[in-house]
Formats: sequence, structure tokens, C-alpha cells
Amino acid sequence: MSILRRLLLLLPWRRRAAERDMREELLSIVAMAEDPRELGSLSRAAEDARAQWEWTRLRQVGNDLGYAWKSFRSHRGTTALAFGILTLTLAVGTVTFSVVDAIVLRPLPYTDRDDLVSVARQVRPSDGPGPVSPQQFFAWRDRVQTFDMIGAVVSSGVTRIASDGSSGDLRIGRVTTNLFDVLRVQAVLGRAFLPGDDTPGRDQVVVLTHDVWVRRFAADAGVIGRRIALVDRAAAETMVEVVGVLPPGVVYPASAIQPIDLFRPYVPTERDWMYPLPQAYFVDVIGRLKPRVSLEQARADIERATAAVRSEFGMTGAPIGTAVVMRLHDRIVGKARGWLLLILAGVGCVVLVGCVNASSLLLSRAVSRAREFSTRAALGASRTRLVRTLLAEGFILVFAASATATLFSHWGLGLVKASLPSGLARASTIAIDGRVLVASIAVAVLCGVIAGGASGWRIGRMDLFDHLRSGAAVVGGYRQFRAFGAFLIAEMAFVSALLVATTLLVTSFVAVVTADLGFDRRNVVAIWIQTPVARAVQGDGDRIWTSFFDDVLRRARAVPGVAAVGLIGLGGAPLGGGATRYSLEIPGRGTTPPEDFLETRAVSPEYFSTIGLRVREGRAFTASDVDGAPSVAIINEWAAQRLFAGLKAVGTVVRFNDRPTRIVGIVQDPKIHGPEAASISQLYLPLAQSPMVGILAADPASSFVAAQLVIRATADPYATASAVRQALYPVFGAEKVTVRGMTLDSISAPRSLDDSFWEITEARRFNASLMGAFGLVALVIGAIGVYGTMAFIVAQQTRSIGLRIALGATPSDVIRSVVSAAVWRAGVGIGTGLLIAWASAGLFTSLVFGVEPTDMRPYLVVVAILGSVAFLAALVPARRAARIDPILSLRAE
Amino acid sequence: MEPLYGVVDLIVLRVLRLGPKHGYAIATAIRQHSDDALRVEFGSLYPALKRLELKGWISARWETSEHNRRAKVYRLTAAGNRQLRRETSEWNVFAAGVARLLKPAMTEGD
Repeated sequence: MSILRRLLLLLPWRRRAAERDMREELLSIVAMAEDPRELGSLSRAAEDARAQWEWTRLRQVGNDLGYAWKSFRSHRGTTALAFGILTLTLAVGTVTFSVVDAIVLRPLPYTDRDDLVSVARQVRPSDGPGPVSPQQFFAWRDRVQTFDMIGAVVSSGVTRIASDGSSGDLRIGRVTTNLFDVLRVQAVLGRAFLPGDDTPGRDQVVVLTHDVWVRRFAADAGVIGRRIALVDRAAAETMVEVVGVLPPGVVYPASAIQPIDLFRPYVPTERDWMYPLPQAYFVDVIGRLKPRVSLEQARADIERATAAVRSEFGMTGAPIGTAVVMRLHDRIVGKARGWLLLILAGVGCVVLVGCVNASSLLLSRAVSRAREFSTRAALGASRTRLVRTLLAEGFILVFAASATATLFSHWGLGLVKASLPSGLARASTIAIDGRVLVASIAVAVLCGVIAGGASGWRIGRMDLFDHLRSGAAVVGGYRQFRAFGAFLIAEMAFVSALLVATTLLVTSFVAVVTADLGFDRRNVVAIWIQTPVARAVQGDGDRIWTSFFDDVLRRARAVPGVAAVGLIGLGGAPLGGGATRYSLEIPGRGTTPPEDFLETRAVSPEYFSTIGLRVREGRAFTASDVDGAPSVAIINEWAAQRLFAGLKAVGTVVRFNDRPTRIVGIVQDPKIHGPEAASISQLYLPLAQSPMVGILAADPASSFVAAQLVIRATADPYATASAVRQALYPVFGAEKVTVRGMTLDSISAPRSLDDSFWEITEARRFNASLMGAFGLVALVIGAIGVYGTMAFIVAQQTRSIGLRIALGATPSDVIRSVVSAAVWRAGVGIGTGLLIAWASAGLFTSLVFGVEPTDMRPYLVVVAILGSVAFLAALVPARRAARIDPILSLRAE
Repeated sequence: MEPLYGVVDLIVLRVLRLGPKHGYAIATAIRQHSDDALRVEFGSLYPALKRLELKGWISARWETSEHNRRAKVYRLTAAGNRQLRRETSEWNVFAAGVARLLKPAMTEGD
């Protein structure tokens, strides 16, 4: 009631009426009084009565705000700097957190997501879970009992939309038609896939993610039913019909990076059911468990299905690798968790540095206003009142900064979204949400409390009157500025801890990019070629397709721009795919155990020189290693060390595939799965001695030959690859090969090793640049902090420095004393930060490459960089101090 | 004797219980009813009236007196009556406590 009445009295006319009423009443009372003097001061009574409806507290706050505003205006430089730093750090923090939150933290947008699992395959613990083969998937799909549904995703490279002109690549994925049912996702427009969409000839349909629909089709609902042309890397066009658009935020997120933009049905080929055939592992399996089925039950079910299919095909021996069933979210976030922690820690450091810095600036303002406060105290302001003024100033600054930061973040998010790596999963769902805003304001308030509190504490301890008397000549050395020292140390600690992490990641990234892969990835491109066996067997009907491959190589070599060309079969080209692993029988050692099976590839003689893989010992293959000649093989260094330790590998005759095979050479250990993959035993066979590259289905008519052409171009590899495709069409007769209803691209889209390499290292590049940006921001803020603090201390010490110069101190003495005061504190801070980084090095172990997290060098780099930055930042005010004119300084004030 | 801070409110409410009064009459009534023992300065009384009015414990209305004089007359509201009862009992407890504390038996060195 009282509040309401008082609120009403805020209205000017109510208030005027109340004033009029009061005057009238007081006059009437004076008229009644026998002796008006006994009433005392009526104006005082009116004043006190007025106070009853006044918002006294509020008015005081208003006064405080007024003071704050005045002081901001009179210290424009410091205020602007503190405001700028706070805004910058809060904006950086908000933007980063929003991105990380949208991409990694937020749960998957699927209903009943706890039932969603990823089924993967793991060969060695060091490999982590990996994709499975189509054969395994189909074997499981038809046999599992604990799954409600089981679907699969095959990522099949990039494409462009023809009508789109120059806009960037889109990632295309082939999925089983039931995938969206497994995920329980329904199209917001049109439809998802139907069961018949995966029959050859009916698969020319595409489902768009919401993001692509918005970005590339301007959210046009009329897109459904439209036919669009997809253009692959080699400029080959495929017409597809848009049938549906997925809901926003739903993407297939096998990794947080590289989501699929366009979905097409996966068309199973006949060989996908042929379990005993050599398998390629490129299928991500997603299943939905039946209610109350545990992960362990599901895993046992998968193993049982594997055993069943193996016995159906009469396979003996140990299966390679084991099945892994894990929650989909764990599979997706598992990889990113370490990065996430690191990035959040990084952004935390930046925000802390910014806050400490702003606090220190505010404190310096408060101290330089000691005279103002002394005067106010002398005029009757209480200390609490002064402290409240300071707190008010801190809060105003902080709230203004966080409001501006929110605006900037909004704008910055747009910028960041545009520059994110070629498409992070769920990037379109990035937005500033309430929690981020609350967190940012909480941090801001903390800043305000630190800044205001520290200044207030200082004012509280200051002998204000003494200060007024002495005329502001602060003589007493640096001990006087202990609070600043603490801020400086804290700031340097955060900056150096962050810089250690940044240095480690940047070093790792450089190590990854410059790692010796064992081959030269530049200007090399790979193209899959496949053709029916019937076509490959030409002329004298040679068994191992020698003349067919020779023909392909001859034509490819003749294309202008081709520097070298080789063929690789059985397994994928480097950086592009796995290979089947086979056992080897080594004399005196027996058959290799499953964990030592060798990735086996069949290559033409020119393959090694084409990709620049060096032969360490023995020889490469030659044109005379043909069918009928003695069987030969080449192993890599890792296999030589691991399997032939103590033996001379070259010259040894091993049994491979029940044939005596002589090891004729050892090649350098190629990092075939990327620089960070663990070494693996590899076996190379001459293509001309490898009947297995011809895939023999139950019926010879549906058998086909498949291999990859590896081309080294003199210039643009994709242009060259296009020309090679043109040159090869005569050999293949047609662009498409149809074998018993299966449509096979006779010559697939090319893929350069460089592109594969960048794809493999994309996450690392993104994280390194993100941390690099954080490091830079922190370094700049840190430098400003050192400079600002020292400049302030010098300004405050003008008189004492002037006095010292008058007493004979040389300019270099002065510079030394100022710089050493700064460097000493920076040193303590840097040391603390390095200790923090050292102690948390365990977090980095999985994130660094080519450098130990406890390696001294990054730490020394940080000491050097940060030390010199601190030194230079202190040098400027130090030189200013050295130029102080003693006469002027003593006369000042 | 000047009453304790806060007690003015209680006294004003108690005086108005006897009937509506204007400001000056309230001051006189306090003096008379306490046999001149209590004297509330007008400077304290007047703000108290405004405070009680804002709280809704008393209401005010301009009236014309028998001498044809206009005066602002205050009267106790229902809420004010309840408040008076509450404050009176609190006061009695307080006063009894103070009285016990000040009993001669408590003299020092006993």
C-alpha cells in the first residue's frame, strides 16, 4: 500500500497537489496555534514530511550515478580503455561459448536419443572406434534382435549445385532409406526417404538439411519437386530431384566437423552382401535399441550376428577387430570433449585477463582521485558513501560493457558463422542464448565487484586527511602499489597459461602439416575406376587383366599435365581409405596374429615413384613382376621391424594367400591414414600378380575389376584428372556400367591427396587458429595491462622520481628501476602461469602432436614472448619517467 | 520528556483512537493525556502523520470546524486500529521488560 502511494506521488501533478495540500495544512495549523513559535521550524517539518514519500535510497543511487558519470567524463582515456577491454573480452567469451555450446554441448536434437547407438569396429585400442564395411552392416541388419532399427551413413565426398555458380562445396552423404526413421526425424517439407528410393534408377532424389535449404535455396518452399544438377569435382553432372527438407538443427553429426549437407539414398550393390569378399570400411552404423536393452546386450547381439554370417559363408579363423556399441552422443562428443575443455579454458583465461585488466584500470582511476575523495571526505561524505560511489562506477562500466558486448556478439556471431570451417555440424543453430547471456553478466558483475571492491578497500585504508595535507605527493616507492602488483601478477599468470596451450597447439598443428608422410601429397589425385571383368579381359584373355591396366596407364600417361601415374587396388589410396588386412606366414615365426595382420594393397610398378614413396631396402616392383613370374611382395618399415625383427626381411620367402612369396623390398613407413594415425604393418603386391582386384561374385558375369588411378599432375590436379577421365572413356566404353541391375560409375570423381589431407587435419587447424586468436587477444590485453599499470605508477610517482633525479639519479637508473619493478612482477605471474599449465598438461596429452605437453620448449617460447612484451610495455613509461624534469615535477601540484 | 523514536507513531495512533483530530489538536491531546509528561515536537509529529497516512493507518480529510475554520482532520482506519493493538501489546512487553531491568534489586554490588 505504502509503496503504491509513494509510487503515485512520483507523478508530478500528484506531487504538486501534495505540496499544495501540505502548505495549506501547515498554514491552518499556524492559524490555530496559540503561540506559533512552539511549532518550531515549519520548513524543517515540511522537509521531514516530504522525506516520507521521497525515495531517499534511490535518490542517493541517482547521486552516485551522477558522480560516476562526471568522473567518467573527467577520466575519458582510462574509462574508454577499461570499457573497450571489458567489451572485447566479454564479446569474445560470449561468441566462443555460443559456438562451442551449439556445436558440442547441446544434446542431439533427436527424440529418445538415449536409445540411439553407434556401432563401430575397433581393431587396436590405439585406433579408436572406426567405420564398418557394408558387408558387416548388412549382415547385422538382417540378423540383430536387440535393435529396433539399424541404419547406415556413407559419406561420399563433396559436390556443388550447378545453378549455384561459385558458391562452395557441399558435403553429400548416402544413407540407408530408414536412417531418418532410426533418428525419428521427419521432414519439415516434402518427405524423407521411402523404402523404394534405394533401387537403382530410382535413387536420383535428394533430401536437404535445413541449413542448405536456407543458405542455398533462400528457404523457398517451392524447391520440393525441383530437379537440380549436382556437379562433382570432375565436373560430371547428376540430375536429382529435391524431395524433402529436414528440420533445423538436424544434421548427421558423425563428427562435429564436416556434417552432411545433402542426403541421397545408399544403393546397396550385390557385393555388399558377399561377406567373404575383401571389405572396405566406410560405413557409419546408427541403431536404435529396443527399450531396456543394455549396451552390453547389444554388443553381444552384434558379435552373435557376425559369428552367424561367418559360419554361413564357411569362414574360419579369428575375425579382425571387435564390435563396439556406444551411445551416439558419446561417439560424437567423445572426440570433441578434450578440445571443448581446452577452448573453454582458453576463453576463460581471456575473460579473466580482461576483467583483471579492467579492474586494475578502475583501481588506478580511484587512486589518482585520492584528492577528490579526500575533499569529499572532508566535506562530510562517509567512507561507505565513497566506497559506494566506486562500486557504482564499477557496475555502470561493467553493465554498459556487457550490454555493448551483447550487441557486438550478435554481430560477431554472424561474422564467425561465415568464417567457420567449411560447415560445422549444427552451425546454423548457433545463437546467443539466455544461459550465455546470464553467464556473461555474472562474469561482468564479478568484474564490477573486484574492481569496485579493490578500489573501495584501498580508499578505506587510505588516510584521506593526511593525503589532503601532504598535497598528493606520494613518496613511498612501489609498496604503495601492492594491489597493482597483484593484478599484474594475476594477469600475466592467465596470459602465460593460455599462451602455453596456444603454443602447444600451434606447434602441434605445424608438426601435423609438415610431418613427413613418407610420400608427397602435393598435386596428386586419385580416381576410382571399375569395369566388368568381361570388359577387362581383352585380346588373349589374360587372367590378371594386365593388358587392361596397361592400356589404362598408357592412355593416362599420354594426357598433357600428367607427370606420373600409377594404379593401386585392393585397398584405398593414401589418406583416402582403409585396406583389407591379411595374415602372412613367416618361416620360423608362424602365421601373424590378427593384431599384426597387414593392410594389403596391390600396386603397379610406377605407383611408388608416382606418390614419391621411397624404397629403403631392396627394390620396387618392375614390369617383369607379372602373372607367371615368381610371386613377390614389398613391406613397409614398420612391418619389417615388428614382424621380421632379427630376420633379414628382404629375400625371405613368406607364404601369402597360400603362395610362396618373396619379400623383395622395404618401403619407408608411409603415414597412409594421416600424420596422426598410428603406424600399421603394410604389404604391397604387384597388381599384375593380384587376381583379387577382380571382384568375383557368385556369377562371373557380375564380377568387376576395381582399382584407383593415382596421378601426379604438373599443375592443377583436378583439371588434369578431368582430362584423364575424358581420355579413359574409350576404354570403359560408357560413363556408367550396369551389371545385373547394378549401376556403377565407371570412373569416379577425383579426389586430391591434398584435399584428403586438409579434411583429416581440419579440426586441428580450426582449433589451432581459434586458440591462436585467443592467445593474441590475451597477449594484447596483457601488454596493455603492463603498460597501463606502469604508466600509472610512473605518473603517480612523478614527484618522487623527480626528487631522485634531482638527487643525482641518471636516466638509466630511473628506467632500470621502473622496468625492473614491472618485469619482476610479470616474471612472478609468468612463472605462476607456467606452473598452472604444467600441472594441467595431462589435459593436453591427447590434443598435442609431435611435442610433449611437458616439453620445455613451448614454455621457453612463452617466457621469451611474454617477457619481451612485458619489457617493452614497461619501457615506454620508464622512458617517460627518465625524461621527468625535476624542477617542474617538484613545482607541480 | 521527548518519547523514543518510533513511539511517536504509537502515541499518535492511540490519541486518534479517541476520535478524529487535526494536526494541532493531536499535539495538544498528547500533552494533555499524558498530563504534560510527554511533549512531542511538532517537527517530529508532522512527518509521523504523513508516514502513517502513507501506510494507510490513518486517513485525512479537509473539514470545516465549528468556528468555520478549515482544518485537515485525521482519523484511525481499520488497519490503523489493528496496528495500534499490535503495537500496544508489543509496547507493554517491552515496557515490562525495561521495568524489571530497572528494579532497585538490581543495584550494583548486590
